[in-house]
Amino acid sequence: MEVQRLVVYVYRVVGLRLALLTLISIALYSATSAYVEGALLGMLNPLVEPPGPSGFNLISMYSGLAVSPLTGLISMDTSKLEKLPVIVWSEVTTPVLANGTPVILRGVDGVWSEVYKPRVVEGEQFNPNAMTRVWVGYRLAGTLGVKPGSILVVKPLFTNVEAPLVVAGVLDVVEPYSYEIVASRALGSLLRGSTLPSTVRVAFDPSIVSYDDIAGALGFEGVPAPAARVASALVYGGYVKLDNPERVQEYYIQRLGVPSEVIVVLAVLSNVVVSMLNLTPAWLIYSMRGRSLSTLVELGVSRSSIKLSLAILTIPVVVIASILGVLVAKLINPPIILGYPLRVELEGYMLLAHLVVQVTLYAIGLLSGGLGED
Amino acid sequence: MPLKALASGLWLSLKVVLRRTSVFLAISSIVALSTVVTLALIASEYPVVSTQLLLERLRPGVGLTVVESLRAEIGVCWGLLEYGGRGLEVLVVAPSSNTSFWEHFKVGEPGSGSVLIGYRVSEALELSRGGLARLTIDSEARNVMVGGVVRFNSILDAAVIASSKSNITGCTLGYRVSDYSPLDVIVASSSQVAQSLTQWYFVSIIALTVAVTLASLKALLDLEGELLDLEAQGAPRGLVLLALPIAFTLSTLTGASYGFILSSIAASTLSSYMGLYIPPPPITPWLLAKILAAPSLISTITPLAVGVTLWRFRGW
Repeated sequence: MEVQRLVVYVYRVVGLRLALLTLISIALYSATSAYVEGALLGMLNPLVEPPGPSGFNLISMYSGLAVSPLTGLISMDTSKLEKLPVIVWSEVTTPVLANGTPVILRGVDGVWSEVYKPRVVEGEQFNPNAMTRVWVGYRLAGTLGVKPGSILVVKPLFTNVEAPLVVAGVLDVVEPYSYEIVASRALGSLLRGSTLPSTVRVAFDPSIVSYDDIAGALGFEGVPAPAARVASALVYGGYVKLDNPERVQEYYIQRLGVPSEVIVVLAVLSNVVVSMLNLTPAWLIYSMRGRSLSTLVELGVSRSSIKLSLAILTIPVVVIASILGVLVAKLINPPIILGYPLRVELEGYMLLAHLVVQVTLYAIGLLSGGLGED
Repeated sequence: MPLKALASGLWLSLKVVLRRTSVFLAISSIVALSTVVTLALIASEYPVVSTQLLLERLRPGVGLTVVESLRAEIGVCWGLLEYGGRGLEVLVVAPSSNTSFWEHFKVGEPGSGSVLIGYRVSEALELSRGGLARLTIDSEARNVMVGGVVRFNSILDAAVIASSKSNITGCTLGYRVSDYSPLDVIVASSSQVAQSLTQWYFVSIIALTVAVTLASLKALLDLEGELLDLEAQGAPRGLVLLALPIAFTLSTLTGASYGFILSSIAASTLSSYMGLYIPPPPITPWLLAKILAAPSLISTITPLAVGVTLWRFRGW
């Protein structure tokens, strides 16, 4: 029998209902595992690093001794940078409970306001001296359901200070600030319980100043100078690790005893184990359409050509279902940690690996399925 | 039917069902899915229980609550403390004469013109008891004698605590002593993670239902002949139909157990690595319902429903 005629016959045998069943089931399995993979890999994404201000590169320095970039404090003499044409400012962060919802409160100064120029969605302009009023990022305002004039009862993690504060405005500003409560630096320090900052940021024009100039001025030695627009540094006593922002989150997670390689392996493993479910829809074709397919064998058609025809017909469905699953995973509520959503996204090699595993296990099911002999 | 015959009939049915490679592999994948779901749910619920454990072992701490100035027991403001040619921005805590601050923090009130300083301030300025420093609040400067160095908590360790007799003015914030525990933040943060996974949990439950349905359909169609043979040998239909739900429920429970075991291993590994006590996996009624009860019920009911449907429509 010609391949073309065989494919048409097999198409009629499989039918639309079975194809639909394959599509739905594999899309569900793909969504379940893509979410786990995406969330695991999302842990390595930078939640805390803003983009550089327009036309500038940015270096952010965090404590290399802290458990997370949001909880540490950094002691740094920024006066050494005064001779360089750079913009320096510092921010203090503290996890807080705002009206019962855990979020990050960030204390910033007037320089931050000038650099990022937050647009006021409603309420007042940001005031870097306010002690009883705070501003809320527009994404967080929706989550908390607050507007200018609302009271936010703020309970910080590190200090026994409970503060009822008034929302003065909602700000349209870049991430991560759009997910945070933005307060004056003084109020942030009060709630954090320290005058030290959590982050020191240096914005500079790369055509005038280089990474090496800044690192040299700060007394850091042996610092690599990546061509990234945004970089981060973990500052230890006498040692600095300067790298791209993706690596910063990774360093913090590694400090908990979980190397990034383990996370990637866990992501791949979870995909493989959940994709084992793809075997069943493949085998189901032989169980439900066994008699019709056996007729072909009796007519002298080889088992391998029947399986090949099935593969030609169903694998595109599996690819579509797997992609659909990845898209569904993106629509499911992401894991939220301290108000920041983890990015549940599969990109590049991980997306390719996800699709390959999904299709391979289905193909194994098709090839191993019994046609008249199981 | 005698119990022994019932058990032997069930065992025979199970053996027939499990002999099939496809059923065995379907069971393995259900185990895998249950393990992944269990691990994800335990990971999200874990910090809540760990923190609750911490809370049980901790005495509620003394805290400060911002209040309107009339009810304030303590004034708080920022000042500049200068000593030995160096200056440090400090938090100035100025308790009033009627405050319970001294009682709660178990320190004696310094005399007029004296202050207590936090150990961080002491270290930063190399200032110790008996030292004379200059304290500026707004534009008002005064000389203060250090009456002692104290270590309270992260906020007061960076502060200057003045006596009520010092008549410090200019503090715009007012506080009252309270018994608030900041560990609520950790508990709420963990609950936030767990709640955010709800939608994914339902998708996983639907995926499990579909997986069990397809696996049941496949197994029952493949085993049709053998099941009819079993029936011909005297095994009741109900008994034959029970074999699959039992196998799938057991595999779901096995997967969940693997999840508990793996998270337990992860907890003990992290525990030894970090040198901290991390309790074993949380086993709360709600978590058990989510991980064990709901998936097991699905694994029991779904193959039964598929079996009964096939029984009815294929005329077994």
